[in-house]
Amino acid sequence: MAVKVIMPKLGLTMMTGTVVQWYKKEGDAVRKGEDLLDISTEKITNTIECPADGILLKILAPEETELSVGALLAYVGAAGECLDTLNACSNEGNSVTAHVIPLKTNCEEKITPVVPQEKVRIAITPVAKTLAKELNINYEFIVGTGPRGRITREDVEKYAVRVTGEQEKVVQQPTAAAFVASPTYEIIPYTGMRKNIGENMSRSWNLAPKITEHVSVDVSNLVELRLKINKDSKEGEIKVTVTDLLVKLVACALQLRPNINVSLADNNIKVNKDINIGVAVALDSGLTVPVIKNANKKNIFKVSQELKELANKAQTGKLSMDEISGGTFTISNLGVYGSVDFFTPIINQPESAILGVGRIIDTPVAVAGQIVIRPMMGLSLSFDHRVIDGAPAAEFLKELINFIDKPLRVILSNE
Amino acid sequence: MKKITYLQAMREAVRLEMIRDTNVFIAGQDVGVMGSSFGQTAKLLQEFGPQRVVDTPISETATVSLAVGAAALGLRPLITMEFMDFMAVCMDEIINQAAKMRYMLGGKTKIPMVIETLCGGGSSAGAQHSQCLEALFTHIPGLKTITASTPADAKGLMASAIRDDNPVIFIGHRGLLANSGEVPEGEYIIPLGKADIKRSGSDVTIVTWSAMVQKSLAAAELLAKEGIGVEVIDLRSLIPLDKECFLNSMGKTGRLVIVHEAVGTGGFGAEIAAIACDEGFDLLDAPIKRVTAPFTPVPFNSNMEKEYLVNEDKIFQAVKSLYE
Repeated sequence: MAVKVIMPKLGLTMMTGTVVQWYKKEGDAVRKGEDLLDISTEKITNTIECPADGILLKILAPEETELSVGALLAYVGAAGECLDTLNACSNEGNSVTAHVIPLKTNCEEKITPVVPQEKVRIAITPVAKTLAKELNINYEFIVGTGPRGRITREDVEKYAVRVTGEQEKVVQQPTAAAFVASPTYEIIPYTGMRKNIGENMSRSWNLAPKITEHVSVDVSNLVELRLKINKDSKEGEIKVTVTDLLVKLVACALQLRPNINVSLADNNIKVNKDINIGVAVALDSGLTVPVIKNANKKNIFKVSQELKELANKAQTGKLSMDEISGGTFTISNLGVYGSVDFFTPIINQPESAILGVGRIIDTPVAVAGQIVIRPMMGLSLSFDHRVIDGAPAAEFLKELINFIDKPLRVILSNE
Repeated sequence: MKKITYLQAMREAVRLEMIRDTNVFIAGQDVGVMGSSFGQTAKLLQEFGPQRVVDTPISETATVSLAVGAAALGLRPLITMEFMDFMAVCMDEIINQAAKMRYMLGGKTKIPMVIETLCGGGSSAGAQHSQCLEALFTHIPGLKTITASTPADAKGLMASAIRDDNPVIFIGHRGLLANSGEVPEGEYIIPLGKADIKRSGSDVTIVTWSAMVQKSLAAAELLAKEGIGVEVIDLRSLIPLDKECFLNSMGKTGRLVIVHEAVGTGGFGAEIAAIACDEGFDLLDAPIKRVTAPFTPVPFNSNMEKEYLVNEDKIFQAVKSLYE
């Protein structure tokens, strides 16, 4: 009988996907494992393999349609198989606006099995099956590496990272070969991480009416504290960076101002109890945002160590889905380049605010009527005006400035 | 702490309990002047006198009957069975009397008795002197069945067994009697029903008891060299059973291997496997394996017995098979 091709769940947060491109037409012969179509999500674009041998009987989701996870995309079956019945099936009721979780279509009952096909039993261990279910992964596509080809927990974990993580399969597009005749430019396919970043940023830009508040902060005490902490550190011991300190200070400031640590979803403003700070890490191929969970509850060395480990993993492409999920606020520090004071970062959805950090530069400022030279650092807080107004954002910045001015108490606190 | 043998540890626990509670007495074949065949009761006759160290005729039936009656009337008998195999002789007294009396009298009497016995092969003692019959007792509600793999455990568990108000089958292992180890001095109690993690590991859980603990630890050492981290759980007490201990461990490892010296068919390992499947199904990342003796009597011929018994290599191979 015909096999359904459905919208796969490619990540924990994936609700919908868009059909980018079909590699086959209706009526084409297809083989199991062959590239069938591309699906893009807010994070990645994946090529979906054909689930069975046969004929691509019917495409129900044309290119550029956005559908819920689980929605029917196509049928693959035997030649001449009951097309009339199949035609009756559609994705009505599956549209994004109507239902997040697709309604069960009645197609299954209606399809008359023309060519009886033995159902292949997939060998998978109980724990792997449970995990796949939790992650909403269709394990039929996983290649088992256990004894007798059994799918193990490790296989599911690896697969989950592969389909949801940063190492997604680069989509085969018409590449440089097709443009040999145009020597005046080089073609870099807009795919993979680049495309994900682009789409995320566009979505946030379109979604969130954004304000950015800028302020220049005296960081004398912070710089001094950092030097003191690192002064006696020995070879191999953790050296705390300004970013590490900022993660902790921002987390503690958010604790005082929970109205910044929010996200908007489904007509509800979710006030996050956990304070998970994402830190933007630049990579050759783009950027990624690993998350320090519960940063307000961790001591500075723990924060520092975790951040270093995450940054290393980011560079080597080893971040797990869990390590890049769950952020409630993001910090983007461009200070290290020494060339930026202020900028207007775009919010990392579904978070509602992001802090841009500029360079630290000695600047003449007035203190108690005297002009003195102080190390000043630029802060730029972008926030989503749908849920955060200018005043509470300013209040949050005030708390943060206060912490930056008197960092010791906050750094010593563990809660 | 002092270093003593498994045998000495068992005797020390019995002696301390006899000092502590004058209701405790020993009865069994050759427990007096002879100090038992293996020396478990050596010198206790001199210290406690013939009232409390009672030599019995060669009748296991009579000995267990004596214990059940004495326990029902408030004494705390410890009786010895040099070879576990001989307990087949007195099963009615154990199964139908000792295990049932408290229940059938509505809890109006208690049967605080211990049968101390020794199991195990490896000394070419033949089919009637080498068996591990723990599963005969774990099947009977009303009995507690415990084992010990180290001198310290032997001491702590024996003391708990004597203090328990129910019939306890304490199964020592003849092959372990001469093993020595650090044992806490003075009063030392290990509660019944608590398993012990003898080695931590994150890849495979081995559930075992008695002499197979040492064999499993040796196999774990070999497996560590192959990069496989084995957690060795010594159940110690089969009934009451500490299932949380191995289920927790399975949560970590996803793989379970059960090792026991007794034959596999109907063995207590089957019970562990059933519980693991029932309550830990979603934790499993591989089939459950059992490493046990084959379903045949223990051979007398020493080469055949060597082949028959579970050893490090068989455990090693079973664990490796989970990956192949």
